[in-house]
Amino acid sequence: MVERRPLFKLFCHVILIFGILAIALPVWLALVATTHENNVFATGTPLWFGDLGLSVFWDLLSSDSSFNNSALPITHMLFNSFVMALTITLGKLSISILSAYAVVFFRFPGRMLAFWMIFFTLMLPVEVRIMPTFEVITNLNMLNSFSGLTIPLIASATATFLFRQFFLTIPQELIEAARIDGAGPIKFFFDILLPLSRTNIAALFVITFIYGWNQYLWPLLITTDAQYYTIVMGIKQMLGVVDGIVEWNKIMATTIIAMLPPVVVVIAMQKAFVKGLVDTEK
Amino acid sequence: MSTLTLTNIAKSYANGYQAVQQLDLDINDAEMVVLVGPSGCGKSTLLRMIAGLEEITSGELVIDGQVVNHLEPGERDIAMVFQNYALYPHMTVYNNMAYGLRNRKTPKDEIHRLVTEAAEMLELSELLDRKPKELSGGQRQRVAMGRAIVREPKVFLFDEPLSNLDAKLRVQMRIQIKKLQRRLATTSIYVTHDQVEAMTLADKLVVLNKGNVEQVGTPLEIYDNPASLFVATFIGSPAMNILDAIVKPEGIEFGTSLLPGNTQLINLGDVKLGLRPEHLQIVEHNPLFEVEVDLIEALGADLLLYCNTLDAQPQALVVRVQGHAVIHIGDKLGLDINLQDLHLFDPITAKNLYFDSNLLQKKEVIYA
Repeated sequence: MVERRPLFKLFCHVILIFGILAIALPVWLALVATTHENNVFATGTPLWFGDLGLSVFWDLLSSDSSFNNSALPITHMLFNSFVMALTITLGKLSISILSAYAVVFFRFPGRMLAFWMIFFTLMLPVEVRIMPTFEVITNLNMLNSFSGLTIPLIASATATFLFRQFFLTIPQELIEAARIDGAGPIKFFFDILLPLSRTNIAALFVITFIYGWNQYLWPLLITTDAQYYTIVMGIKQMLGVVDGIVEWNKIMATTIIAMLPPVVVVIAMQKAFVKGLVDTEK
Repeated sequence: MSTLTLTNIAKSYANGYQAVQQLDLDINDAEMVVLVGPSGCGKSTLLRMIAGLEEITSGELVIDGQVVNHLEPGERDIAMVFQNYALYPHMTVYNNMAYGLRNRKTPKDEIHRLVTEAAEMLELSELLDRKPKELSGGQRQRVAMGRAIVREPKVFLFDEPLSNLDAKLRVQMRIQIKKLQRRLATTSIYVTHDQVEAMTLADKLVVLNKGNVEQVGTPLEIYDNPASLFVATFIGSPAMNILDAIVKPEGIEFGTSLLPGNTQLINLGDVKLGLRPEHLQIVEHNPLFEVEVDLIEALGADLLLYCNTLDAQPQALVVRVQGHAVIHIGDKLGLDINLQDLHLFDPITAKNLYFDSNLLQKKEVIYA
């Protein structure tokens, strides 16, 4: 859009700056809080850095669970989060790309029914089906395990749908050329479809990794054993001190640590991510 | 090396639509067969059935003595060049050409030899490391050809391979395809709707209409003796003029003109008269009939005159004359034609009546 009105431009910038401030301010407060002694918070929220530097981060990452008032050291919780987020992401990607492959490229009875049933689950996110899912997981004895943490979150209509839409744009002739070149369904999938979906996979990786990393309600329900606590749950646990003082500087530091992996993933995959959303390489 | 035999081949779809009906065709070794027809005539369907991309509803397809009806495309030993090239976008030119060979477990050094040879033949040697999106249309087209050539298949199939190129490139590629096919002596089937391409490339031309073969023959046979009205108007550009005429005992009458002669061998009544634009000559004296020029198209080498006959019911026709003839809109011209170049078609069955033109004579006609 080409607009040549300076006032309109100024207006746009003001709106955008307000938006950025609204998002950045809490992060800023959290970051500032990590550099203060805990007693500072009794008098108010500091707006500028204190004199502790990065020591709180350092203590959190190097000490054991007693330091952060919860049952598990931060590093272990980070590890749990990583395992959960990566399993969900890889599981989601591989299952949805395969189901989209089946739905788009093969003619079998009930094909559209299968697709619509997958599509229908879009309307049933985890929060809606949380009780029945919990019941199933309990009956399967999967409480307090990584499989219980991840499997119910792997099925994904969104990813299947996205892959389906992408596969539909692949020209029919490309498939036919591959058939004439003697490539069977499996060869076609690995030699042609997968390399072509690279950018889409990257985009979905980012989205699903963040989705998996930020899971809160489901891990909270399914894990009673502290061994399986994730970092997002850990933050909540640190707030719940009985008769003690809430250690805001540590909580804020943990929050910042919990934010970092998704940020790293986004930055690492940004190029492919943006390409996957806007570009079609055909 | 390889021959193809199509016996009673038919294709019908679930909705009852008959794309190809009971078609028989023999293709000899090293022959270039061109399937030509308007869109929807079934030519592409037929090609795709030969390729194995479309199921054959009934009939038998034999390649080199082997029935291949139920073989996968990859097992039929054919190679196909698609209209939009269908190159693998993520592979280099080299890998695009090598992919089919790798799937057939060809040894590595053999692949290398075949690909470099084909690349040299098609002037692609410099481009082997590029991706398709870094190539121009013509180059992509050559890669698609290369992908077919390296396989050294029994049959080449071309599905309108030149229709995405600009006019100049199309002519160049047409000549290159012809040369290549001669040199490799591989049996080829070429589908096009462009009749110039069809005429220039074909050893054997197959004209299709509504899923039926209208005529099979060499391009010149078909041009000289079109079997039906459809073939007559489809082959040749501009199309053959078709005029309404009446067969009378004393000759053939169209408009106010009469071609006297012995017409006993054909049925009396309505008939369609076919006159090619290039066979009509402008004559000063003793014309067969007269026309008035309505519109002129200057093509450089030729001039196309769109005319109407000077009758009570004017009929439109096109005359092709040499490019610098001095003719203006509204001019009245006298036209003549060699009687051997005249075709008669049955108005109901649309078949050529192959009427012996020696039975007609020209009469002195004097116009006021």
